[in-house]
Amino acid sequence: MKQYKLSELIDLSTIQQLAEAHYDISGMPIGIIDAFDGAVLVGVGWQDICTQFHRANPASLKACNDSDNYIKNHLAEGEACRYRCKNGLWDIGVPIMVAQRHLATLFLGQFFYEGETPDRDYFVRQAQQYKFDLTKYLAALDRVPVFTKKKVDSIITYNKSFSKFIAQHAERSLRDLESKARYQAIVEAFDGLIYICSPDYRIEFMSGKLVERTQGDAVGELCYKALHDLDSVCPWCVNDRVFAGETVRWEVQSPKDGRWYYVVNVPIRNPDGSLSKQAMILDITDRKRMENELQNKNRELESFTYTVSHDLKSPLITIRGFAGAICADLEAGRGDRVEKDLMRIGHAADKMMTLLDDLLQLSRIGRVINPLESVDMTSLANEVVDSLSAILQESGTQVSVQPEMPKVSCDRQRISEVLQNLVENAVQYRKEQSEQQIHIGLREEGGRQVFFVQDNGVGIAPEHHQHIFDLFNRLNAKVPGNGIGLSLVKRIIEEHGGRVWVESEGVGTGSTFCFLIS
Amino acid sequence: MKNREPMRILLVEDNIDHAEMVIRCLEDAPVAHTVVHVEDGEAALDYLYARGAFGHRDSSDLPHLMLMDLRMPKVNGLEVLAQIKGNDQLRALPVVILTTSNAETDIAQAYANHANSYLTKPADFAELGRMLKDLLAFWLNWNRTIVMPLHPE
Repeated sequence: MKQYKLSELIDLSTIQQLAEAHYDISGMPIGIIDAFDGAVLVGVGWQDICTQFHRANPASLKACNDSDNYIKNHLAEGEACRYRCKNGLWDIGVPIMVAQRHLATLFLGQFFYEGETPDRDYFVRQAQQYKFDLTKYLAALDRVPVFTKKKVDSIITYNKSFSKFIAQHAERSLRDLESKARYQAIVEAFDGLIYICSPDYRIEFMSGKLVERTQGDAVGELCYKALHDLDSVCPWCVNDRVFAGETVRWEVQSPKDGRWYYVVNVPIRNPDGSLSKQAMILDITDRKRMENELQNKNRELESFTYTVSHDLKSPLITIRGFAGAICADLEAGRGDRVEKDLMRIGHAADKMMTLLDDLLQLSRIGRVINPLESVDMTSLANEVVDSLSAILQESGTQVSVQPEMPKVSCDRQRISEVLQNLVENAVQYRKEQSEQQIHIGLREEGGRQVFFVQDNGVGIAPEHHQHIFDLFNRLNAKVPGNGIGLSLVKRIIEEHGGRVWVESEGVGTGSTFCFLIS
Repeated sequence: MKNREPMRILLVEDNIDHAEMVIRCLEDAPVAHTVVHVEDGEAALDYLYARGAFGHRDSSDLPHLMLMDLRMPKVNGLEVLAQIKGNDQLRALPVVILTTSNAETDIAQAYANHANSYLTKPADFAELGRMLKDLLAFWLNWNRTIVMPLHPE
């Protein structure tokens, strides 16, 4: 906290007027001297004998300094310190203490007490010693006021209160400055934005950050216009409640920048008794976005759990159901369909196994990310085709791979899974009684490289283009699979910051699965 | 009960094993019946409207009861339900949801689409048998409904 001087805390011209009036009434000289730099803050009735003679001569000044130092060292709050200088003149100091700090001293004097008549011979000798003009010096001596002890005591009593009064004013003003500085520090440290406005929507204060955000100091302007770019009071305005004394906390999306803000509105009382509204505003757009993401993730997770439980339950029902059916058949002496039922049970168990394996694989995406490497897409596609040679041969599928496709920076293993899933998918959805042909290639589209796996299979109706990538979504119950493959593809591509989609004019026209990796 | 022509049940179930189980459970049901099995919602609607693969069918020849799964490829059970219950002529056709799901949202949505009943498949074969026989007895023996013949589209 800055060390304030008395002159910065109160209006000294009023104090000067009071001191002058006091001098007129009492004849007692007064001075108020800054405790740090010795500046004269207030002065009236100072004695020529001091200012023009004793203090003006370096040799005689020593006695004056002794006087000053004595008083300085013996000041105590609320007490008057009296000192009679070597020349027999009295000086009285009363400290002005503001918040336990000695800011200035009120001096009374110099003067003589009645009955302590000065020894004129002493002053004549001094005039000779310091080469003072004797006549003027003695005249100055005669002008020094003389007071009774009783009168001085009254003046001291008055001035102790006067000092206290000055100190109290200074302290109040110090507190005001301190609280202003604290508010300023809070406003500057606060990450949000602050403004204050009047009941008639005029901005009275804007924090630096708000000025920065709105690109201009809008003090004096209408808040709804300056802050939200509206031509009338904001429909969500809570002024009624705030000016009724309520603190209102709420969230709003600004039509000006589309961002979300958390706002705390408090009424603040002005010195004249009127109220203003202080608004503290935090930009919570990121938090809102994360909340939304979290909500979406939760929904996704919910539907995932739902689907998984359903898809795991189905084969279980098959297994238990047919186990029961076999028992019933055997009890009834029927053995003709037992073998077939056992096979159903076996298939259902296999299905569960595959489903669990695939789920495990799906859960690894996003967790296990291999380092990106430069991958030659043609050779990767050829590797995938080789690894699938058994099912390709069995289904009589022909696959061609575009030669010399460029290298792409990606997770090699994952992108190989993408190609594998897309090729397997194409094999599964082939047309009956026709030779399936698959082409893996690349095309340029808007300066981006779009890889594709094209087939002449059954095709996909446009209304299914979106949700075929959803988990567990299958277009045909008869086609083997568990609805994980394409969602796996989607997740891998999205993990690469890319996009996957399908192009097909409809049933019977074949499909092209396209993806790009950013 | 007077003798009637066999009751027709339309079974909409994408899981072939589950369909087989249902058909097997009904084998010795005391109500004379025939089961038509289709594997997805689209086929169910084709059957009801006598179109597509069922184009040769007499559209006035509607089933007496529908047993339908919810989660199916192409058109799911809820959509089929919504279409049936939104159709003045089909509305009285009793549709019983028979599914593995006991999720509250599924049950709520099924009833919101005016399912006549909601059943979850018990894992136990004997229990499934009892349930289906009770079901048949109620819907085909005791329950009365009027299904108006469909006008060809």
